[in-house]
This record gives sequence, C-alpha cells and structure tokens, in this order.
Amino acid sequence: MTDPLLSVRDLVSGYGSTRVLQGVNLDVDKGSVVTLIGRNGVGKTTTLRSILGSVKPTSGTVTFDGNDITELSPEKTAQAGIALVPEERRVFPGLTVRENVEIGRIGGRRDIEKPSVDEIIDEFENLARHHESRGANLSGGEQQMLAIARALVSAPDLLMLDEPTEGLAPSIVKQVQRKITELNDEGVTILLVEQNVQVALDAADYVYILDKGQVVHEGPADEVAESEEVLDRYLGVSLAE
Amino acid sequence: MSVATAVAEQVLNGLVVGMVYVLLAAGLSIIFGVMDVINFAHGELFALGAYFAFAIAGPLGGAGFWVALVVAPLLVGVIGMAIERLTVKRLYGRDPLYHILLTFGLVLIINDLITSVWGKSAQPFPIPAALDQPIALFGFTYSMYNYAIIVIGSVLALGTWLLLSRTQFGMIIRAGSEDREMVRNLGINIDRYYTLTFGFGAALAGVAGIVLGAFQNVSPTMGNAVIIPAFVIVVLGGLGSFRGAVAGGLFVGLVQTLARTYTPFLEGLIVFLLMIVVLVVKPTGLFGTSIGAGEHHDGALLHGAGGGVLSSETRAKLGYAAVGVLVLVPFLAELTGVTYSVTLLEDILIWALFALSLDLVLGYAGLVSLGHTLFYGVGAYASVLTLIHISPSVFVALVVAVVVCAAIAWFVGYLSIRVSGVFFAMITLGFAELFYNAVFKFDFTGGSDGLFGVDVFYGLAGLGIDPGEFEIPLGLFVFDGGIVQYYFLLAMVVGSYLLARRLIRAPFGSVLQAIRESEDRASFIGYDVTAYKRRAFVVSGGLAGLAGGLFAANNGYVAPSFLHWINSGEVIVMTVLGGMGTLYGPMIGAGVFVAAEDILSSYIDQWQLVIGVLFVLFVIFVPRGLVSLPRTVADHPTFGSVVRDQTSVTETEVEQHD
Amino acid sequence: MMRDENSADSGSGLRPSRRRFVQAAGLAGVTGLTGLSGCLGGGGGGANEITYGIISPMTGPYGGLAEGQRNGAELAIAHVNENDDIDVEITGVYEDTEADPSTGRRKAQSVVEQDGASYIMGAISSSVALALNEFAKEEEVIYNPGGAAVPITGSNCNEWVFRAETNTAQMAEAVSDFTAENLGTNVWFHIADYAYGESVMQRVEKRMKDGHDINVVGRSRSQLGSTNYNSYVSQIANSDADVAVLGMTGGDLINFVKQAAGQGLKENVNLMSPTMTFAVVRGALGEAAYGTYGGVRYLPSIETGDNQSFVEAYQSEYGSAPDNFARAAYMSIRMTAQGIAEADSTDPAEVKDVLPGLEMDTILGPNQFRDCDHQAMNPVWPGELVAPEGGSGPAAVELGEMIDGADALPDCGELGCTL
Repeated sequence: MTDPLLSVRDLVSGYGSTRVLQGVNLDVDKGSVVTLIGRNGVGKTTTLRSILGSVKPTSGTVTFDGNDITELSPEKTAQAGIALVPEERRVFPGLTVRENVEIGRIGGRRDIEKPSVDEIIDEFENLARHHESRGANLSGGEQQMLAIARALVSAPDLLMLDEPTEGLAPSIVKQVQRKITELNDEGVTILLVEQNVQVALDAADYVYILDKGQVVHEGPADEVAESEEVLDRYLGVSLAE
Repeated sequence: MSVATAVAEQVLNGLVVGMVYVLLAAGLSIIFGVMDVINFAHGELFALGAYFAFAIAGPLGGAGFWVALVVAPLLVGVIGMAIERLTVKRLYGRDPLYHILLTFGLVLIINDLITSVWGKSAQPFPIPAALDQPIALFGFTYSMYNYAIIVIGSVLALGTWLLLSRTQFGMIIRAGSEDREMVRNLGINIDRYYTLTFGFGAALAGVAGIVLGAFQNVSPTMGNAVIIPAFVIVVLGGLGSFRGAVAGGLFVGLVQTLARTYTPFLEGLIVFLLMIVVLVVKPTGLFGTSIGAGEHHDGALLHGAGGGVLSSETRAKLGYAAVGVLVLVPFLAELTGVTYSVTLLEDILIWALFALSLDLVLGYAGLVSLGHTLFYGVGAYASVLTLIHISPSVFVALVVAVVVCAAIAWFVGYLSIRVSGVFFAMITLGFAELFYNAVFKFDFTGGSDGLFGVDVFYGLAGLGIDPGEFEIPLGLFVFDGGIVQYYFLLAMVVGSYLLARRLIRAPFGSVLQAIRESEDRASFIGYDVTAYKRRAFVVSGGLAGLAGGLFAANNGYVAPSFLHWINSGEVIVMTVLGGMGTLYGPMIGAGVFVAAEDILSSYIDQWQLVIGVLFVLFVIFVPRGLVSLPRTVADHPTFGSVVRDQTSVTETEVEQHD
Repeated sequence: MMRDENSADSGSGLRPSRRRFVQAAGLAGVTGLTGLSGCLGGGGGGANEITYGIISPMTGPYGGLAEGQRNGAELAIAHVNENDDIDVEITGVYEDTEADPSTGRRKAQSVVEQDGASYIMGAISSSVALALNEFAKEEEVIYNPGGAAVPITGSNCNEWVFRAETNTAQMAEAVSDFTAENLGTNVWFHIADYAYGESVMQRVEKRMKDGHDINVVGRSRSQLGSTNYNSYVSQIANSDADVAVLGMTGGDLINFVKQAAGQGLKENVNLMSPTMTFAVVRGALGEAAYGTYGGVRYLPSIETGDNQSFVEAYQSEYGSAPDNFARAAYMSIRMTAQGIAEADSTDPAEVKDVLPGLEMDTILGPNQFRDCDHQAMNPVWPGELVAPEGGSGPAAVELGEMIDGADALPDCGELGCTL
C-alpha cells in the first residue's frame, strides 16, 4: 500500500495559551476525498490551518508527499502543492474575478504546468459570465466557486475545503457538491471539512469525526453513514433516509 | 482683472496647491494602503530626496536637475527598502501605533544625519533654467514651473495608478492590502513585495521632495513641515485608496485656494477642518472602504500590566517611598547644592501628569490620541487667561482649565469616538492643529508670541500665600515661595494619580479594560462602549488640562509651542516607554524621557540621533515599556534564574491593578 | 499684533525665586548658590570671574543661525579672557533651547543652578527670548537676547536685559527712507501673519510716511510657514505698486522671493525686505535675489570699529565669515564684559546699573546700551543685492548710506519701554 499523500500525527495546536487540538491523527490517500466532521468549535478549521501553517503547531507532525511540512510557513506549504479554500471564502473584494484567478495562478507550486486563467474560468459557468466583476459584487455561491477556481488554477496536489457549503442556498449547495465530485473524478485529492454531515458523507470516501480536539471515530464513509449510533453520539444528528 | 481671469487663476492655483498635496500624499498612501504601516518618516524621506538632488544637481549644473530627478528617488527608494528590512518588517501585525512610534524614532535619526552631512541652513536649489520662465496665460503671469508641477504630479499619479491596476506587481499588492494572510495562503511571499512597495513609496516621497525643493527651498525642517498635511490628505481621501489620495489632494488644494481669497482668516485651518468634517460624515474618508486599513492587524496595544515581578504590597511600599523622596527633595537639593534637580523634577512631574492622562485613554480604553497636546495647551491658555483677566488665584485658574478642557474633550469625543483606530487618532490630531493655528490669529492669546509675565496667588479672595512674598524661617531652613509652588504641584500630581487609580479600580476601570481587550465582546455583553470611552476621554482631557494649567501657573507664561504636535508625540513616547495601562508606568516613562533628553542635549550635539536609535530599539524589543522589563528579565532562561535565586518573587496575578 | 499688556496686574510682588526653595540659613558658600550672592570670586585680588550661559536654538528651524550665535559667543569669551584691558575671566557653558520656550527656560535654569551662571546670552525666536526676559528678571541675572523683536526691549523690557542685536524698529529706520526715495512711492505690504510681520509693516509704513508722500496700494498677509505665494505675487503684479515691502523672514522670505522671481515680478516691482541681506537668505536664493533690496544689520565687509579684526579672527577659527548672529553674540558678551570691568564687580545687580549708557568701542564702532531701554545703538544700512563677482552664487550686497546709531533708534516712548 502506498503512503498517504498527507499524514498528520499527534497534532497539538491552538491559539495563544488556548489549546484546541489535543493530538489529531489522520491520513489522506492520494486521489481520495477525506472528510473531517464534528460539532462547532471542535477544531476542524484549526486542523486545516495548522496543516497549512497559518497556525503554528505546538507539537506533532504533518507529512506531505514524504516531506515534513510541520514547521513550514503558509507560503511554503502552498508552494509545496497544498491549496486551501478558507471558511469565509476570502475572495479579494477589490480584484476582478479574472484577477482573483490570476493571483491564484501565480501562487502554489512554481515548477509545474498550470491551466490557464481562461481554461479555469470556463470550467465554472457563472464565473465566465462575470469575469470582469469585482469579488465584492458576487453572490455567496459565485464567491465560493471563485475561491475554488482560485485554488484549482495552481494545480494543487491537495485541495483543502473549509465548510464550502456554509451559508449557501440549497441549489447552490448542490452545485458545490457536484463540483467536488467532478474534481475528484479528475483526480484531485480533497480534504473536506464540513458542518453539513449529509454533504460530507455523500462526497467522501473516508470520514474522521472530531470531538474536543481529537479524532473520536473514523471509517469509510458508507459505514459511518449507516451507523446511527455513531452519528447520534458524536454529532447529534440523524440522517434523513 | 476680469472674472474669467480671476477664475482661471484660482483654478490654476488650486491645481498647483492640489498637485503638491498629491505629490506629498501619494507615497504615504501606498505604504499605508498596502502595508498598513503608518510611515511617519515620510517627511524625512521627502527631505532626503531634495538633499540628494541638491547634492547631484549642484556639481552637474544645467542638466543636473533632470539627472537628479531620476537618480535621487532611486537612492531614496533603496534607503526605504533598507528601512523596511531592518526595522518595519519586525512590526507587521502590530497595532499602527507602533509603526508611528518606530518611524517617529527614524525621523530623529534621519534628520540628524541630514544636518550632519549638509548643515542646518537652507540650501540653494533653483528651478531648472528651462522651466524658470514666466508665462503669461489667460491674463496672469506664472512661472512655467507651476505648470510643470501640475504635469509632473499628473504623470506621477497616472503612472502609479497604472502600476497598481495594470501590472502583476500592482495586483499582488492590491490583494495584499485587502487580505494579506490570504495572499500568503496562496503561496506568494508577500513580504518581499512589501519591501519593494516601501521602496516605491519612499521613492515617490523623494520625487515630491525634488519637485517641491525647487519650488520652495531645501532645509532640514522641510520634512516636518509636510508630514502632517500629507497624513491629513491620505486620511481624508480614504486610507488605502490611492485614488482617494489624489482626489483628496486636489479637493483640499482647491478649497484652500478659494479660502485664501474669500476667507483668509481660515487659511491655516482649512486642511484640518476639511478632514474633521469628512471624517465625521464619512469616517473611512472620501474613497475609503470599510474593508481595509486598521482591520488587518491582529496586534493589540501592548500594555505593560503584568510585567512586574513585585507583589502589590511591595509595589505599594515603593510608591510611598517614592512620594516620600519627592517630598524631601527640596531639602536634599539645598543641602547637596544640586538645586537644578528640583527644577527638572517640576518639569518631570508635569509631564508625568500629562502622560498619566494619556494612559487613561491609550492604555486603558485603547484609544490612540495623536492630539493630546490640545488639552495641555488649552489648559495652559485657559489658566493664563483666567489669571490675567479674572483672578490671580491659582485655584480658580486650574478649575477653569480643567473644566474647559473637559468640555472640549466631551465635544471632540462626541464627534469622533464612534470612529475607530487611525481615524480617531487623526481627528484628535486635526483638532490639536486647529487650535495651534488658531492661537496665532488672535490678540487675546498673544498671537505668535504668547502671554508672559503672569503671577499667581495660592489662595482665594486675598486669603492665601503670595509666593513672591512668602518667607518662613524654620530652624536651619528658610522656606520661600518656591516651596509652596513645588508642594502644590506635587500634591496635584499625586492626587491625580490617586484619583485615576480609584477610577481604574472601580467598575468603570474594568469596563475600560474589557473594551481595550475586545470592543465587540464588551458591547455584546451590553456595555455602551461609546459612552464609556467618551467618559474616559473627558477625564483624560481634564487631567491633561490640569497639567498644562500647572505648567503655565508655575512658569508664568504660555506660548503657541504648547500646542505643537511634537508634544503629542513626546507624551505618547513617554507613555509607551514607561508601559501603558499601568498608570505609574507612563509617569516613570516621563521621568526617564525628560531627564534623558535634558542630559543628552547638554552633552551631545547629535542627541536627536541617539534618542532616535534608542527609541527604535525600544519599540522593536521592549514594546511593553520599562515596567515590563523586570518580567522580561525574570522570564529569560538564564538571567531570570539568577534573579529568582536572589529575591523571593511572589506570584503576580496577571490582571492585578495597581 | 504686539501684545502691549505687560505682566498681570495681580498686585503680588515678584515671582518666587525658583532657585531657592529652602534656603539653608547660615550655610554660605554651598555650591549651587548662584550669582545673586555675587561673593564668589569678588573682591580681593584676581580677575572678575563669571560664568556665561549661552543658550541657542541648535536644533530646529534656526539651527543654522544658532551655530553663528554659539561661535560668536565662544570667540568673544576667548577674546575677553585674553584681553588684559578687560579684567574679566569668563567660563562659557553652552546649551540647546530646541527653539522651544519651555526648554529654553529650563536650560537657563540649568546653567544658573548647575553651572553657576549669572549671565545669559541667547535665543533667536521671540517667544523664547520673552521667556528668558522674564527668567532674567526673576532670577536677577543679566540676559543678552539674540532675537530682534521690539517687545523684548520694548513693552516687555526690564532692567536685567541688554540687547546687542539690532531690533526691528532700527531695521525699519534703515530701509524706510531709502525705499521711499529710491524704490518708489506706490507701496504694497506683504507680511507673514505673525508678530514680526505686523511689526515690520507698522513701523516701515509709519517711517515711510514720515516726510514722504507715499501711497499704500495694497496689503496682504500669508500664513506663517506658507509655501505657495503665487496668488499674492499675482495680486502685486496686477496693482500699481512700484515696490513691495515684505515683512517675513527665513523660509517664508526665501519661498516668496523665489516664486516672485519665477513669475517675473522683479522686472516690474522692487522687492524689499528688512532681512533680505541675511546670509542664509542670500545663500538659499542664489540668483533669485539679485536685484532685490534689504536692510543690513551686519556684513563682514563693513568697516566700522574693529570689525575687520573680528572677521579675521572668526574666519581663522571657524573657516567661514561671521554672520549677523555671530556678530550679535560677540558684541553682547564683549560689551557686557566691559560693564563688569567698569563696575569691578561680577554681581549682575551692580553691573546692570553701570552698563546702561556706558560708552565703548565695538565691532560696529562707538556704541552703548541705551539708558532708557538697554538697546545697543547700532548703526544700520540699506543695501542692494547684486550678482557677485563670479557671476553666480549668493548675492553680494552693495551698502547704501550708513544710518547712525542715534538716528536709527526711535525714542523709548515710541517703543513702549518704561524703565
């Protein structure tokens, strides 16, 4: 069995004197969709940020493609091939759609071939229509698509998505879901943090459930989806049939 | 002169004055807008540009100006990049106040370097001969250079705009100004771009210096003369908006020109009035967006509380001891013959009170007041005017000073406290400058000279002590009027400290601190944040007014220099130097600063350079102030253990008030 | 506007002497007990030993001028010490006022209390000088101001102040007749809106009207520290003015003349300013100053008194010719020293009674601190700025007819001093 693309071991991290992660372990295999779910405040976003390096881990290791990236700054981590679509989307409000994608293309790995800005924009129907609009003038759904496009254009090896469906209308949520599936079909490895358990379980191959800064349950997505007991205990949800 | 000519002339003039502002503000706007750094050294970089040009153009003669116009800004740009790498870089993410302080230190350093190389007198820097022709157009005669200024300014503005909007470099720094962290997350090393940006901003300042140096003159004070107007334009136009700086500059230029003709009385005041009006109506400036400036930094104002290693009992004992020593100083001075120490101490006590007043708003409510000398100066003027026109009683004078200043603080607070951070700071500065310029214009304030020869009476309605005639022998000593003055001052200062401390220990103080830590949270809990801030500001204004009044009463005069912005800067330095948020920290800071400056300026000609260097080091390495040093030492692995072994250090409660 | 109000009419006496908070009765001779005692070094054999505090605005807008002041003082002290005819031994202490009245005052206190100075010289700006005036009165030390504002020996005069610097009223005398007679009778006044500017306008206008038929065609005021004068220049150009009298100095004057020259004003209107001939102004203006006019307080080329030997000594010591501020400092100290020698006492209280009216030889010829206001009766000249010999560089000054000290100085009553 090949090594996982991303490997996180005993990750302890937090903000100032507050410890959020108490020792997180997870693996992401190349080409898979792994999802990290849990209630509010358990440390899902912190996990992603610690992997990227925006938050410096207190201890533990993060290995990516065989290299230890634990101590790397966000720039260096991104340059290693990890792209983050952050929780608030954070498109650049004053830049146009085109410019947002352009700047994504400048970033990321330096040594590979990347799709052109036009190619990427064309993949997203509503973006192509508005490519001269400023980020601030887009709807929530369009911004989400733009954030994903901006991440994709750098041809990342690992795409991390932080709550991509948050605050979006159900029809847009479906669009995002479709996009994630498309991307995975094309071979993009995805680490998905999601509040919406249904979306998460539908999209993912493998699931990690986080509670109080630790992984409390893991397993293949279909198994977890079947297990009412697990869902109830750790998430307090029951899924619609 | 026909109407058409008059109008045309106004327009031309407005454009020239406006373009001058644009030239000044452009570089500052870029640096602030992109990097969230308030570069107070912008004026000195401007001056450097002029001096380099002078150095280059001099020997080269004729075409020298044009060569200089290209080469000198490059030199200034390089210096800018060096400054960024060595100093500014270390302060990213900190509250903009620290940038101001750091660059304030740089001003002192650069200014002294300029005078050491080129001397203190103005240098000749003529307009290039090709442009030095009078042109008669539309019925009035102006120098071709005036038109050249408009052209150069426009080219500069256009070029910068193109750089920002059409190049990859520009796109990245625009993105960085909106969301620096995201740019990093994308894998772009924004810090390298920042160095270039700072250099670019510096180079723009340099170009402005050259263009204006030829129009005006090249002297060591040229930097100081432009820095405040440059800031005003940037803020008025909207922080972070280059377009705003251009629009703001032209707008102010035009209004100022019209004011000169139709309301000449308002001339020096227009710039500040406009800024205040704009900020009150649209707090983010003409073109400012609510995203942007002031929102990027996660830095808080670094207070000094919790920095001590002593228990509160020990600290209290130290306090009593300190007051005891202060009471005995006059006797010690007389016996040892070092009577000057008392004079110096009086000045220190007054600045300590002034710094204490600032700490209430800066260290506790988190409000950066860049114009605090407004209260100091107005307190002094109110005090002197009362002594001259109403009553020679010092009590009456001081009460008037406090009341007047508290009222002004209430008014200024009412207008500006809902505005945050940098904008609030600029409004306070605007008011201070307004008053500074205003006192020159009236006779009753003594105009540019001030009011002198005022005597005080320590009493009321004839009952009390007349310091001039007071003399009481007591054993070995003879007390005279000076002692009354000293003890009165000491009592006022100690009393104010105790009052402030009482205020801080009361629930009022806790709320203030909560506001400082997180304004949003405090308001979510249900506190009327604005009201609390305003109250703190009123108390602060009153105390600062008391300080000014005391100085005026003790020295018998007041002058416009009391309202000069440099005092606002110095009191902030003292407060931060001592350790804000501790009340006694800033007072110690005042003592150290005044004493250090007094001693240094007596022995070293380049004392500004020394103070500047010390200050830069301080802001970078010990931003929490002197009172935090013991904790820094105690926490240091090697030093700390040595100290700990020697003394018994009791646990300090972090948020313990003192 | 000049403030004519003197001290507050509070009915109280002198301000407290700040040196003495607590007088240790019976402890005489303790160091730090300053000049008032006057018993240090007095009497007995040996020279009259004094300490002179020289406090100059070394940092700030007058830095260039302050250097001259300090150098001139230093040279004077050396010369007085060397001179056997003046039986005075001076120790100089030097401080920086930072062009701020509070700092200046504190430094004055410092030299008095720490260094034992009983004589002070310095300041250039009028608010610092006024603060030191008050200080001298309270501390009972002698003060030689380096500032030219009239109130210093006018409405704010006191018996401890002796000024060797030429004041604004004397300069108005220097230029008024010359301007009315040679530069034109249609006059425009442009001033910087502060005390000095008002003073120039008031005095020059009055003097010009005295005996001449002049016509004031316009007045304008600019903000102190302005950098743009185009509109004023335009106004003047469009009027009937033959001559523009400029009540401004330093950077303001430099900027105005530079811009006026750029607009071609010099071709049609004569430009005159009392301080046009200052070395710093000529230095910064270069060619723009050629063909303008000014008053002269001092030039190294003047052949009065022992000026030439002063210039030589200064040149060899400091490598450049002395300017007016060096001259004023030098004269202040030498003249005061002569008073000390004459009184044969170092006590300022005694010297202040001997010095007024004492005739002595100075750089500017026979001179004295006038009795009624202690202002030195300096001669003045009008001057024309012309291109120097090389053709480029700072303008050279062609001196007009000298106006005698006695003629140049208006009556005390006019200047507001009642001593």
